[in-house]
Amino acid sequence: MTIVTMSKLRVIAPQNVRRPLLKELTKLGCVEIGSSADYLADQEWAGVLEKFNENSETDRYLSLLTAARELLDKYAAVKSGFLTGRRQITEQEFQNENIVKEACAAAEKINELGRQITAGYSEEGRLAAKRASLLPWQSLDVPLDYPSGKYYKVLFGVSPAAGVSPGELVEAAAAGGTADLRLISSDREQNYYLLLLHAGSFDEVMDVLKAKGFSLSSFKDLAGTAGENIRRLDCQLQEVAAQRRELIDKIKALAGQIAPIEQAIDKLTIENRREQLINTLAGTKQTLFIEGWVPKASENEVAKILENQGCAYQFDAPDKDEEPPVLLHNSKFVTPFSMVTELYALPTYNSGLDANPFMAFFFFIFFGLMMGDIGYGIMISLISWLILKKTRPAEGSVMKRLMQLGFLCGLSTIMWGAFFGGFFGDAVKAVSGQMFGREFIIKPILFDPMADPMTLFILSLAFGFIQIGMGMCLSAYKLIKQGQFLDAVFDVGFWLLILGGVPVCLLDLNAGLIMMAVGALGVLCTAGRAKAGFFGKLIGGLGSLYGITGYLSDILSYSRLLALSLATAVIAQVMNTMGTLGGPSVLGWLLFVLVFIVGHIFNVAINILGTYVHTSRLQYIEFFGKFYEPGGRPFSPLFNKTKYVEIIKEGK
Amino acid sequence: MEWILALFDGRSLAILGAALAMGLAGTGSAKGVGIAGEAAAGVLTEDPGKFGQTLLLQALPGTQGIYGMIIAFLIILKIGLIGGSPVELTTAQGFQFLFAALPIGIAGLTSGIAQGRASAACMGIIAKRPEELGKAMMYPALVETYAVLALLISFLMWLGITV
Repeated sequence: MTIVTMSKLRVIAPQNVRRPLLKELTKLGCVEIGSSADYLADQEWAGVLEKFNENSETDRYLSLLTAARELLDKYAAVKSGFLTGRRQITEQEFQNENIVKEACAAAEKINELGRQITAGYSEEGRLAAKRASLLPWQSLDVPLDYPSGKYYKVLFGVSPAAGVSPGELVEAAAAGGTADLRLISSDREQNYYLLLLHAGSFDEVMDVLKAKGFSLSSFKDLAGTAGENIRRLDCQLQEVAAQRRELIDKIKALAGQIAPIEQAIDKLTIENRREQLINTLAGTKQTLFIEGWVPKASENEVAKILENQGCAYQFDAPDKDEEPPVLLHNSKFVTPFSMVTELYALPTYNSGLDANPFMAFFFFIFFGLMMGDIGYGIMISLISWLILKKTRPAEGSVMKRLMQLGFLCGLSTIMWGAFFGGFFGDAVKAVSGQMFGREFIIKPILFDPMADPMTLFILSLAFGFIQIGMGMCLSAYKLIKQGQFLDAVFDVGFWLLILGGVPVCLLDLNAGLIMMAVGALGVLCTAGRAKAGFFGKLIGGLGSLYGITGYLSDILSYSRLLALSLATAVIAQVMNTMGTLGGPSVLGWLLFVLVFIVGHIFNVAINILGTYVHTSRLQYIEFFGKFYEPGGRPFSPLFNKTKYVEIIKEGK
Repeated sequence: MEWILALFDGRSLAILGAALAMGLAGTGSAKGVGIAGEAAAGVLTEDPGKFGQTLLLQALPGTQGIYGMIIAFLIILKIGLIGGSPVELTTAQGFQFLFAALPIGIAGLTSGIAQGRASAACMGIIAKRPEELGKAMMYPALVETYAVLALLISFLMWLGITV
């Protein structure tokens, strides 16, 4: 239950085995390989080493497959059941090259269909635009290509709606007696006209009309009236839509290919990562240089692979000034809680202190205390358990640990619910009293926090006291481990005396007060030891003693345990009171069922959020603040990370 | 004169207290959730996949309203406005309820808004580094501490009032 000891691995491998070697190491999943960028930048090394820059095809295939998957998702989404896990396949199936080939062929087909659909959409847009431009002329029965004769012209034109009014324009055209302008239609932007005029007066009439904003429009390549053209376009639009339906049906017919495509995406993603890794490594023509980290316990397994591939290798303990990556190994109970710590920060490797085993206990207790309800606990545990069973999230994934955390916290909630006598708040009392006329209550094992909040207040502060004391002990442990024994006594020991005096006071006032006085005197004399001069030391000591307010506010901060516990209980009570307002009639029962379900789900949701946040806060700020050294780099080994399929061990 | 008497009636004052607890704290939460929601909408225009994470952050300043409701509910329960027979209150008792409602009312109003602003700022974390949701939730949560403490004090005051 600590930070795993790491060994530094250095390997010289023959170039020709680099792919199988990395493949084997990925499968093993416990080697982190670093980039050789530092060596390549180093003058001394740069002369010997060269960088690889290989382009592989996997990139292209991956984007092909991903695009196909998106298309399938869009047009042929398979309705998956509620809470389904990843498809399980064996290693042998996963490595099958034929499936990748099949998937790529299918993806090509799907992408081609997708391209045709896109082309259909742009064709549709073009046709629709054309149709829209013809709509104003729809009422005109003159063909748009009506020929002009020797003495007359048949023309079409528009004027802006904001300009000269159509009436004025018609009059102006008629003024010369050689032209006839007719308004066909108007819309918000333009007025549309048919212009008939004597060929000889064209220039004259046009000068007049142009000055008033009129301009000619022409219909290239269009024959027949606007109405005929619109009907033709409508037919074409229908055809395009029909074609699209056909294309989508074709994609739907390929829906079954989603399984091989997803499997191929997973396989190629892993290969692609490997190729990218190779490009960050350095080597010579014949050899490849690999540097990385391995958990000390896995050295033998790694060595076996390296020997099989004919590599030269060496395991070393990390140097003093090196920061190896951090991998935490904890018991089954503690592991889900490590997620909470990881959200804060990993401990540094050299601090050698993993907070999780200590934190897990408090997190478990505090979460349950704040929710404190048998019914809610059952809900939380049950839902977490169902999600775990149904979706089978990957080992060590955030989802898996989150749900395990939920399950454990639910158990704690049930436990505290039994202590406090809460089952969906006071549901039993409210229902039996309001609906059946005979009040019945669940007897709490400890006490009812609504009736006796002061007891819970003291219990909350006591928990705070214990956790902060433990944080200080851990800080002392760390100092002693680093050989700073005196610092541990001065900076932690005296403070523990002061704080420890408080509970001792309850047993024996004098003994407690003496303890506190000794502690305070110790802090006063030693806290300023790094300062120069007598007064410097004294002021340093006084300043440090003033830090008592910090400890006080830290402990008082745990009063939130009471406040949030009350919040859950009172909101539950609100829901029950509202639900039973209708009394024992049919309508009353209907109201009750509705309010009960909606209300309690709401309460659980809002309080899980609040409880999680405040439980975490107590760990992060009040507890970790005392001793924790954040800033470790997570250990990220090569492993077969899959998104869509789950690789199961053969023979299972 | 009658309206002055009605104003200083113990029951009226207690109801005023409940109204302030809910009204002020509710206003704080409404403003806070609104501010956070505006920022959340901005994040979502870039990446609709972050709906769940932004929703969590937006929900954080919503608790003040709930705390206000808790105190308001407890007050109206104790004076028998719902679920039971009405209780006769002296003017002094009415004022006591009114004052007991003030901590959560005032702290709920201000901390709700402040928490909303902190939540809105943390939306930027979700936009750029969604994996840091855990840290992003801590900043607004620190603001909430004061609403929790106010709830606690209001509750203890309510508990101490005998009717």
